[in-house]
Amino acid sequence: MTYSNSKLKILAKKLLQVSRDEKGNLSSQQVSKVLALIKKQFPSRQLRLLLKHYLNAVKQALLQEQAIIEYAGTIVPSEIDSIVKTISQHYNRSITTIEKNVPELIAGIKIRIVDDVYNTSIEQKLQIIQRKNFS
Amino acid sequence: MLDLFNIIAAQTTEAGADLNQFQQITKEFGINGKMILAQIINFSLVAFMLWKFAFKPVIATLDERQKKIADGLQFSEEMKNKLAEAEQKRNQCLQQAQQEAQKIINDAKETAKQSTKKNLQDAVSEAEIIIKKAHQSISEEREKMINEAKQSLTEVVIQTVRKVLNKNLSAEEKTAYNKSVTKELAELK
Repeated sequence: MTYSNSKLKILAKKLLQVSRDEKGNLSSQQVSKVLALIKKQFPSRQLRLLLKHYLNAVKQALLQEQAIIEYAGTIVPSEIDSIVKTISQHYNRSITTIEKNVPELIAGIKIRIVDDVYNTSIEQKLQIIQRKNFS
Repeated sequence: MLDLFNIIAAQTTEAGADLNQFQQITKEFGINGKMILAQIINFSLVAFMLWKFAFKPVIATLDERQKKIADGLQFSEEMKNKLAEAEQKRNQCLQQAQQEAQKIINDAKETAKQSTKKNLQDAVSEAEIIIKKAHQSISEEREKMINEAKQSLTEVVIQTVRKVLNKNLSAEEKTAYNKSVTKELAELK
């Protein structure tokens, strides 16, 4: 049996859903199980293409579960927890974080989740003032 | 009656005397009646011949020439009339041509006048447009310069503020700022 590319994409998305745990987060154990299953049961002719689609889907899912928090100065862990809590509630899913100290921001926080950006830094405010004067 | 007869007889006698006298005279002068008659006939013949073969053709030629002369004169008169007519026509044409030429000159003058006026108006309009454009260009240039100056000034101010903040904002202040924005974010949900 041969699957078309679009069908393989749909199949990869379904496999991604299977790869989540009870909380809806991606689980490495589940992913391993899915990979073993694919390797065993899927025809080797289209295996490579399905794995590619599955990898993309997993990457996309990981990005959606990951927030990059950039800040200048210091930020206490409780504040990061508070941010994570807020974001998780907002997106209705569990979010992991990567923190980066970026002195160029001067002060404040910049959060990026996939394509969404929340920037409260002083640098951003200065840029807004500059753009207003330039337009 | 007898008297009358006598008178006639007398007269006849007188007439006979006269006839004798006449015959005597003619004899003396050598006049011969027959000769005269013959001469008359000859003369008549010559006159007829002359009339027929000399005078008549000459008269015909003369008539013809007369006619030709008359025709020539008539032709000349006609030509004269025609010439006069042609002269008149020529004068009329000349006059008409002069009038037309005058009209053309007047029209040309009027056109030139109007053209000059129009050219002047066009030149004025063009000059006005150029002035307007120049004003607009100056205005735009000025606005551009002001904007550039404003941008440069803003950039300088922003850079200065950035440097000042980077230099003077203490760690505590940054932490306090972060805390406040975190609070703001928490309130966003």
